[in-house]
Amino acid sequence: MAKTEGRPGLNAGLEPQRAVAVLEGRFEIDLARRLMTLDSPQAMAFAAYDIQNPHTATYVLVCRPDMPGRTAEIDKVMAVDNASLSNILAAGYLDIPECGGGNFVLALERPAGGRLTGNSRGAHEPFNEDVIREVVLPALLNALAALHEKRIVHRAIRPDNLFFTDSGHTQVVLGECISAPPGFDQPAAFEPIERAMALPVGRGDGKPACDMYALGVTLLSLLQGDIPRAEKHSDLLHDRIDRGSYATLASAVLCTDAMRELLAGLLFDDPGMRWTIEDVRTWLGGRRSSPPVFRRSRSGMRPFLFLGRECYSPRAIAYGFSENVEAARLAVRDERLGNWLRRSYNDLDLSDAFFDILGDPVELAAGRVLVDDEMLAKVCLTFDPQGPVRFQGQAIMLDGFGPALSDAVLKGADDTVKTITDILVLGLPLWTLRGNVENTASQQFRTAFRAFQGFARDTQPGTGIERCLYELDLGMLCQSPMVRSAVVQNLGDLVKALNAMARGSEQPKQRPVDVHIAAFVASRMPVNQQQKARAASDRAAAGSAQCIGDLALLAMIQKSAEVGPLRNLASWLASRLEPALHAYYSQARRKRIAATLKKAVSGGDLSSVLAVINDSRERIADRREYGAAASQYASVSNEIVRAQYALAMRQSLAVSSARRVAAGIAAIVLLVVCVVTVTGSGL
Amino acid sequence: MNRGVRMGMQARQQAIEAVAAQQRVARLRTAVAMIMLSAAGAMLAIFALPVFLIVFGGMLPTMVAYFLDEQPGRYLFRAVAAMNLAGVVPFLEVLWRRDDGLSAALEKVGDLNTWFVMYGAAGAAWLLVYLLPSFIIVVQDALLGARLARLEAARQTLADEWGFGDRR
Repeated sequence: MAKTEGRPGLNAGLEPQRAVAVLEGRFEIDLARRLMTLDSPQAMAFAAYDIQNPHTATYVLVCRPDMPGRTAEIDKVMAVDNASLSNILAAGYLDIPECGGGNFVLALERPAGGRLTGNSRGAHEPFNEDVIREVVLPALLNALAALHEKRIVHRAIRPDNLFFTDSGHTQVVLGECISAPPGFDQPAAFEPIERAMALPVGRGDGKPACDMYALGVTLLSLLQGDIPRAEKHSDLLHDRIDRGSYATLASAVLCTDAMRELLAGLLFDDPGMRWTIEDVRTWLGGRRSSPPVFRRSRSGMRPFLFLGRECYSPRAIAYGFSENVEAARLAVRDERLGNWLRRSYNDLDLSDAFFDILGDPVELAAGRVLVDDEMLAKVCLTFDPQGPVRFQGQAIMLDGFGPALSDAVLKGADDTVKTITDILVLGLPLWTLRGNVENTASQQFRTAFRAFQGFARDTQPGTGIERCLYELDLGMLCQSPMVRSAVVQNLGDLVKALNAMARGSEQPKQRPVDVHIAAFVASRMPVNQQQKARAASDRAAAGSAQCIGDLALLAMIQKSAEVGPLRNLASWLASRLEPALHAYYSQARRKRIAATLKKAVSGGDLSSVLAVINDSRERIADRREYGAAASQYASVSNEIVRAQYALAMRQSLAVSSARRVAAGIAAIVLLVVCVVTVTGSGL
Repeated sequence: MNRGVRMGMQARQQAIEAVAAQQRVARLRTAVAMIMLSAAGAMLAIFALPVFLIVFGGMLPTMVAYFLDEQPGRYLFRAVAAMNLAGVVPFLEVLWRRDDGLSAALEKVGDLNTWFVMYGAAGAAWLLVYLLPSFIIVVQDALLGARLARLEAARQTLADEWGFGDRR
């Protein structure tokens, strides 16, 4: 990560000795020159100078470090070359302490004409229908077509994110969509109903139809000169649920019938019926497409009263429940809700599903059923399957779990992390998906959330909510406390950061692979490489699987990411290899391997270190020699016992043997005397 | 009285009877030895008086050893007998070589050196039997100590190299 530094300016625009950060060695950022008119809601704009192309007016957006942007999509977005899109020239992480440090920075072409709404993010001068038809709409369609073709949904289409690229205000570009989670900065009116009900951070990636809806509200806003119905979020949503978005937002706008037709087509609440880019192009071409036929969503004959509010649809009830959980618990127990579903709403299937969740109706009527948060969440999901998962104050779309979890982790909101963990463990997203078996997207979501449920329940390294975090948000930096101060986007960055951490005379005491790093690696490393690393730890001697596993994993990263020598990290890992070294029985072998290990560590190649400590041939030889030595030890011990016994019993043994020996000596003497006597006598 | 107690008493009775039988055999053997010794002495006294004088006089320590040594194998008796005989044999050779057997025998019996040699040889055997254990103990101590030290060193080397005793 580049650091800001005081250095002489390279052009006249920058004063000497000014704090300057350099992005990708090309864009010099003047941190003293704020461009507040170009700020994004979650990013601060600064003046910048393009060293390679000095004639291009550029600026940078410095994103908040505690906000999960759409960094995973930056490459795809930058690959879209379209004149109607803000041109992102470069992107990357910089450490800018003035902005919190560890910031994602976007370098963009500076729009000469400013925002369409001037400096205002709210009320502005209304736009003429002709300007919209001839300047704004074609540009936005052009930009959206290019994005949707690359399967990117912008999710930040609103008036204050549109810019004139020229001072004559003839060309419009759509602003960036990277600095915040999808839909995060959108006023509720700019989001389709189901996503507007979710928390801003959990609104999800959405589909192209979401952009078309936002386009409709943007046009409406430009026409009337203000954000439509910017009043209380809750009231607006209830109105939209009951009356439909078009009727709620656009019924009072003054415009031509043709424009009204366009707005009606774009503001369909049913995404399947909502106009597409082709429909709008047809409309722009003057050919009349089939006029939108409004069908009010199914509603009850009589309203269900919840906290004095009339709810005509289960979705409205679900939204009401999410706003007041304690009242919802009482309402769920009340038999009037079941009656309303059966008699007024006349949906026996929904009624059956509702009572399936609650259990025994007799117990329920007797007040002996505890309506807990899980039960309430399931009721809400049953009433509004397209809506967000609502649980303990959270409301998150299925495709919004990544930003929601990332946001909670970055902000250190442990309670939110726990709530999201509970949602995944309980499998509430799977509850939403039950029944949708034909839909490919639903199947993908189901497969993914089953995996997340398993991860969230598991406690093994490489699982847990941390694994869900990195699987859900592919742009998430590694959040391990050990490397949080560095920018760890990929596995190569990880080993470099760990190597930097181990710099110094004293090795860190902790494991180099904590829960975050294990999860980060598990989500970023190809499965076959993980299997190879696991095989190395499987071969490790008993008691050393952990340290060998860590070494094998990091060695695999060094090799696959083609990172150079990592001497500090090798030294750190080697300091934790005592159990593996002690797994060898032979002291001489230990000393020899320790000496070889030292050489490998000085080389900084983790694979070599692994090969030295985890040599299966050495281990087999060690075991074999140990077996032979053990039997030799037993044999020597037995001999010692025998010798000690002989020593203890020497008195009695000596007496008995001495008598024999004396008799023998006497016999020999006799024999000698006899022989001498006989031979001496001359016989 | 139960069956176990009855069986125990029977076993004790059998053991007492066995010891008594052994004592009877020993007494019988001693009696037979005495009879045979007396018979042999009588025969020698009748037919070879000079030899009788030397042998019976000279072998008295052996007879004493026979009656004193009740250890299994009677090695004290054997050692004393062999050495005693070795002390007697040279004087028997003198008797064999000279024609005047009786006078030569009487001459030897009257010589103090003769008794010193015969009884000295028996005494040497006696001494050998009582001193040899101490000597053997000293030798064994030296040999076993060296062996033990060598084995313990070998065991310590194995323990140091392979960690026996301090783990696993």
